[in-house]
Amino acid sequence: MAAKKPARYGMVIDLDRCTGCGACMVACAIENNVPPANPEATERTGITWMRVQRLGNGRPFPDSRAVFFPILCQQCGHHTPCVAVCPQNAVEVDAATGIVDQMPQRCLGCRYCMAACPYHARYFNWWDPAWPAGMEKTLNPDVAPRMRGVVEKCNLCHGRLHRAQAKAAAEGRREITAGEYVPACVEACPAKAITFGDLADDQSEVAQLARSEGAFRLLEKLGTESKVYYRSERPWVHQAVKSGIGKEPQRG
Amino acid sequence: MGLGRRDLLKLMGGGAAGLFLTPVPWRLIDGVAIRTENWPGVPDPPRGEVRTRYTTCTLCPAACGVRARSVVDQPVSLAGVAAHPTSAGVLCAAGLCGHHLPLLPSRVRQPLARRGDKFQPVPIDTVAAAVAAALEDIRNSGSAERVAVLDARPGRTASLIYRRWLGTAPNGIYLLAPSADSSASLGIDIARTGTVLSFGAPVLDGWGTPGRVLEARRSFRLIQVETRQSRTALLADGWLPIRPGTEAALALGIANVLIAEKLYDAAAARSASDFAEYAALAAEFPPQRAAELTGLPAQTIVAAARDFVGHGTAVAVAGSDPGAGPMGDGERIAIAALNVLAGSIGREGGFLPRGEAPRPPGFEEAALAPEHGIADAPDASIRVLIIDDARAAGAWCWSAIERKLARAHIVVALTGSLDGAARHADFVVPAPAYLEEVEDAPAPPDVPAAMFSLAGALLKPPPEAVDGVDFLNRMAGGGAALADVLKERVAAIHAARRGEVFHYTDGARTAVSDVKSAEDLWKALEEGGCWIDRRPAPKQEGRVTILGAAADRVLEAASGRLPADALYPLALVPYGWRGASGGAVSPIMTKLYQESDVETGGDTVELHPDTAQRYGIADRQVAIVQTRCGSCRRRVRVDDAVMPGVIQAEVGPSASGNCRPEALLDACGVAGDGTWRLARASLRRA
Repeated sequence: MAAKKPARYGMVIDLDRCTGCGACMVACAIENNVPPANPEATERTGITWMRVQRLGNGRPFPDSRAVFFPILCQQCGHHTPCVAVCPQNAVEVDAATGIVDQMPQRCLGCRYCMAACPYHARYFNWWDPAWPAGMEKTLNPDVAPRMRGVVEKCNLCHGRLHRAQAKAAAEGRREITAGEYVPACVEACPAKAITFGDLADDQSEVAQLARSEGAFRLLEKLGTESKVYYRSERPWVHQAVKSGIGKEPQRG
Repeated sequence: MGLGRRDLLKLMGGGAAGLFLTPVPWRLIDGVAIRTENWPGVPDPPRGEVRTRYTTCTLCPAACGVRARSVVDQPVSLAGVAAHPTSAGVLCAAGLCGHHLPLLPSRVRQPLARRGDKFQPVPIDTVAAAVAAALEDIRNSGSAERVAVLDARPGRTASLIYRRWLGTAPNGIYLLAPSADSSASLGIDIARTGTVLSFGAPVLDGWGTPGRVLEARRSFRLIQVETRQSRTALLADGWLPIRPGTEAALALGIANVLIAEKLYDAAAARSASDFAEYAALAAEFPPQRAAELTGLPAQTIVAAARDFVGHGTAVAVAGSDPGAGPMGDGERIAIAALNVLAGSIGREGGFLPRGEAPRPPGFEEAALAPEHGIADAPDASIRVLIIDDARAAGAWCWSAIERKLARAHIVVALTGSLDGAARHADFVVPAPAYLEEVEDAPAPPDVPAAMFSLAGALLKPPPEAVDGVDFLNRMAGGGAALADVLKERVAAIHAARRGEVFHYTDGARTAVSDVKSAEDLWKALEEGGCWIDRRPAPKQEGRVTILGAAADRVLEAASGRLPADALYPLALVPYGWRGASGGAVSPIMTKLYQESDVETGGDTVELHPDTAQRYGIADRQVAIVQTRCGSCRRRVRVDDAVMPGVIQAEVGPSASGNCRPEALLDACGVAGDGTWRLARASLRRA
């Protein structure tokens, strides 16, 4: 019997459906024990494994249009930049799932990975993780909070993967089935804009969407073979992405 | 051979360099990293049995099903219930972190009385005695002063109890919160709707039941009429950016086109007793005049009118922004009239009459105080005001309430946290927070079928917590507890033997007629379930009235809400987001308004670059927004998606934590019709 092909977990985010409500960001923070903002935190120093950006068409009112662009670790599958630069081997690509994992217990906080990440999807803990008094009891028991001084990022809800694997093992199965493992952001999206699954399975919905017209990846020219795809039927979105994401409507 | 100083230094240098070729330093770093992983600043997540429990969200009128993952008894995450008949597995951002609300630092844990600018703890009996004495005084003196309950979440069983109590209280008046939409008498058959013409309603961003609306999104066209480029406007099929306060003018302009081109439903129009009068009013707003008022090209208005009725059943809905408060009557009537022209009332895909869950005996409509808006209460008339603002879904302008209070008054706020209207109260009563009390959730405002959900308690409230019904009982010296009345209501539903129960645990449905007893029905609902009635059959209304006695108000609204003002040339447009504009939010929401720019935050206003340049204000500078009614300091964000001449101001939490929503709303001032959604303003650099 042929061995099962390793999985390549990834997602397709439909930008034409995303309403920018932020439910994915909140669900992600709760699932992964990301603390509330320190009073001094800003957009630059805060921790948002999943961050919804607004990408505008650059035209003035009333012709301005925008889409909401959720940015998370793109789960690079080739020459993963953060893996290559980490002096501590604190980042690795899981061969069985394709997930780029961050091990905070190995991280020494040099932030080389942050400099290397072309997607700016890595975050440094500038402060001790703190919740209002008494709110620590609402933490997810499957995920350890990270200490001050280490880098963290999206790991496609590794705690949920472990839970699904443990459940399968308890039921005598070696593999988890499609739909048994879903990251928190995917589950929370009210517009069903995020489709998640195994990109290595050609029949899966996510693989078909990734191949569909209108699908693209960020900074594809870098050849990182990222496993997060985006979709939009609006031509200007494709043009804006090609000309450089981050060019938001004029602000000052 | 002697060992010289130079040799010693060489040895030490070589040794130090060689050390880096060994694993020692790397092991040391690794060891330090591992040791410091358990730094005292890192909290330990709780341990214990992990369980899944179910309840219903009561943070807004949408009444979404909730699946709670709990460690022992403490919920650690909330998610939607897949296959829920209305919420369809969806929870909004505020709902996802609702389990944090009982643990907020601003949580009220004991009764408080105002002493100057501060609150001090008092026994609950002191509060009850003060209110009872005021009631007695009104009763004995024969005064015309009123006793009022302002209900943030009407339609609940507790609301019925308030109304029954007010029916017996001296000059009792039951007031609906300004943003409350639970009492709407019509639901929308959105799954079969062809076109939604939204005048400022956040259709895709927390309006009605989000899961139901988003599920149906692919099947209807959406035209958004709004000054601001909101999230709904961005995702709509068409966006009509009108000048602030010109919704009624556009509605009449569209009506003009529909009537002139005979695109309206003639049968529905014949059923309107005052159609001729309405048509005459619409005739005053040809596309050219509507274009002058709204700032849209005339051909755009004509195209919007044709688009509105060109794709199956069309509905027009008026804005219910949680930050800006309700629209005025003039606008609402002008917009509602479009539904008569489109023939969408009582038709499949249009508006259908809403049902209500059976009531227990003693709660017949005749025994209850009628519902009123705040504007209905005479100014300076309310002696005792009890505000049930626990979990208010929208922001209130306190000035609108304050003007209704008599000179000597008592305001009691029943609230879970010291936010919103509670900050203005004389007494604060600690109500159970979300997830702490068994309560009911009525049918969401947009759902035509009658529904009834129980929100089972997942947590224990603090010992001093008192719910609104308990508070009334303390004043009256006895009475049935809320849980007992809820059981009576469930028994009434069981006795009616209509509809079915949806079980959150497994998605199964059971006909009520198959549920053996009222106790079994209660158990099914408390463990996670909702009762849903049969879908009402489409039924055309008989004779309807479009304008009634409100023709003048419609004309006034259509002539423009914001007259020119040389001193205050800008238009201040507040807006908010459901679940965050009304009061306390989980600190995890800082991800949205502090650590990213998903929400601009309540300390920020947005300006077009031209407007900012004209006032010499740069991006991120602090400015003073001044109106005739007040002023507030806000950080400026320059964005070329904002209409020139407009100040967009979000009503909600802020990173600095010191910008209260009411300051902005009070600066807007309250118009004659009790609304505060617009104001003329000026700007200067702070």
